[in-house]
Amino acid sequence: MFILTDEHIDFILKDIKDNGLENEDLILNLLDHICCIIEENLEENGNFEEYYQSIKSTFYHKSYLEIEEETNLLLTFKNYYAMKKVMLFSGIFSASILSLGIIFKFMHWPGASIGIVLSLGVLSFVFLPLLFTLRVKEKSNTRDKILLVAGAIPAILMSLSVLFKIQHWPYANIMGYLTILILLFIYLPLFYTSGVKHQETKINTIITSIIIIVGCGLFLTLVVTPKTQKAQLVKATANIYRSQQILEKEKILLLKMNNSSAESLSNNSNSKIIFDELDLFKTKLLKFSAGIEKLDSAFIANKYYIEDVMLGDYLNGQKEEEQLINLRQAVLVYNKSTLGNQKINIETTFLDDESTGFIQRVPTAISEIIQIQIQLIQSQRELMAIK
Amino acid sequence: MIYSSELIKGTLKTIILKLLKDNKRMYGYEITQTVKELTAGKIQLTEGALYPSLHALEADGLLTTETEYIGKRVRKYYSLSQQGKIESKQKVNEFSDFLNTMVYLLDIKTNFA
Repeated sequence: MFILTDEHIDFILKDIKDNGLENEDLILNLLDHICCIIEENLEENGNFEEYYQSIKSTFYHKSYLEIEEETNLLLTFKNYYAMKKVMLFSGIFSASILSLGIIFKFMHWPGASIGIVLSLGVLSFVFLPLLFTLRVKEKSNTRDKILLVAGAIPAILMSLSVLFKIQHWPYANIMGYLTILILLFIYLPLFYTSGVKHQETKINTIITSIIIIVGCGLFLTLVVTPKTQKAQLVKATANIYRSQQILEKEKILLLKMNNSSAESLSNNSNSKIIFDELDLFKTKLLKFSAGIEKLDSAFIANKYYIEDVMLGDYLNGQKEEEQLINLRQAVLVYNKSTLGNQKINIETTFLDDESTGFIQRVPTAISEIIQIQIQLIQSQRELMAIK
Repeated sequence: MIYSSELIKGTLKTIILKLLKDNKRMYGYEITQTVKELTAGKIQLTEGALYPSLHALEADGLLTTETEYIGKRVRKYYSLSQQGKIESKQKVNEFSDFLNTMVYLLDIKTNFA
C-alpha cells in the first residue's frame, strides 16, 4: 500500500483546482476518491506521478471540469419537469388573461389594465425565460444556443416594451427600438446563415427571414419619427401659447372696462380666488412639462416645448395630488356660490372626476385651464356689460 | 459484460439510495467499490456520474452528510435523510415494477420464472 504524504495531497488538490473546478464540496470528494484509489492500488515503492496521471484520465473525457458541469446541470435542472409544467401553465395563463384583458379594455369594463399588466408580466418574466432556458438545455451545439439567446432577448424586450408603453413607464420606446435592432442585426443574420446552408431548411429559413424583415418594416412604418414628434410638440405648444395670448388680451380688456379698480376680477372675490388657483396649477404644470413657468414668444428659439406627458406622472407625489384635490374642491365651492351661466363647466376636463386625472395629458390640462380662465373673464365682462 | 452507461444512468439514484439504506453511511469511493464487488465488476460507477448524482440527491434533501478529517484530507460521508428512506423504498419498488414490465415487453425468458 502506498502512503500518501501531504505534498502528494497538495499536488492532487492543485491539479484539480488548476483544471478549473470551483465547487469546494466536489473538489474534496474527488481528492479523497483519488487518494483512496492510489492508496489501495499503488505499490509501496510505485511511481506516484505516473500512476496519478494514468488514473486521472479515467475520470473524464476531456477534463475534470465535466464532472462539475454535470453536477451543476443536475442541480439546475433537478426541477426540469416542474419547470416544464410551470412554463406551460404560465403560457396558458398569459394568453387567456391577455385575451380577457383586451376584451375588457374594448368593452370599457373595470379591471382591464390589471389583466393586461399581469399577463404581460407573467409572459416576460416567467413564460419566456423558462421557455428559452428549457430550449437551450435541449440544444447541444453552441450555435443553436446562441441563436436561442439572440431570439429570447428581443422576445422578452418586445413584451416588456408593450407593457411599459401602455403603463406609461419610462424607456418603453428605447426597448422597442432595441428589439428591432437585435432582431434585424443579430438574430436575423445568425438565423439566416445557420438555416440556409441545409437543403431541407432552406426555403423555410428564407420565408421566415422575409417575415421578420417585413414585420419590422411594418412596425417601423407605424413609428412616429423624432422629427415629426418634435414638429408635433412645437405645434401643440404654439396652440397653447395662442390661447394664452387670447387670455392676456381678455385680461387687458376687462381691466379697461373696469376702471374703478386695478384688480381685474376684484368685484367678484370668488371668481378671483378660482382664477388665481387655476393660474397656480397651470404654472406648476408648465414647469413640469416644459421646464418654464410662463410661455413667451421665444419658446421655439429657447426650445421650451410642452412635452406630451401624462397628468398622472405629475400627480405621483402626495403634494401634487393634494394640489389637484384642492383645486377641484375650489371649483366645486365656486360653482355652488355662482349662478347659471357663471358656473365653470368642468365636464370632460381633468377637473371632472378624480379617477380620470391619471389618464389625462398635461398639454390638454393646460389648455383646459386657459379656456376656463378665459370663460371666467368673459363672464365678468358679461356681468359688467349688463350693469 | 460491463453494462452501458445509458443503462446505469437511469438507475444510478436507485442504486445509491438502496446502498445507503443497507449500509447507513458511506463515502464516494466506498460506494463505487461496494457496487463493483456486489456485481462482480459488471457495474462500474464512474466518478463523473456518481458525484454529480450525490450532490443532486443532497440538494433534493434525500441525503445528509458528515465530514471527517483524515490527515490533510476531508472525507464526506453520505447517509439517508428521513425523506431519503421513503424515496429509497419507492425507487426500488418502481424499478422492480419496471423490471417486470420490461421482462414482459421484451419477452425475456427468465431463469427464475
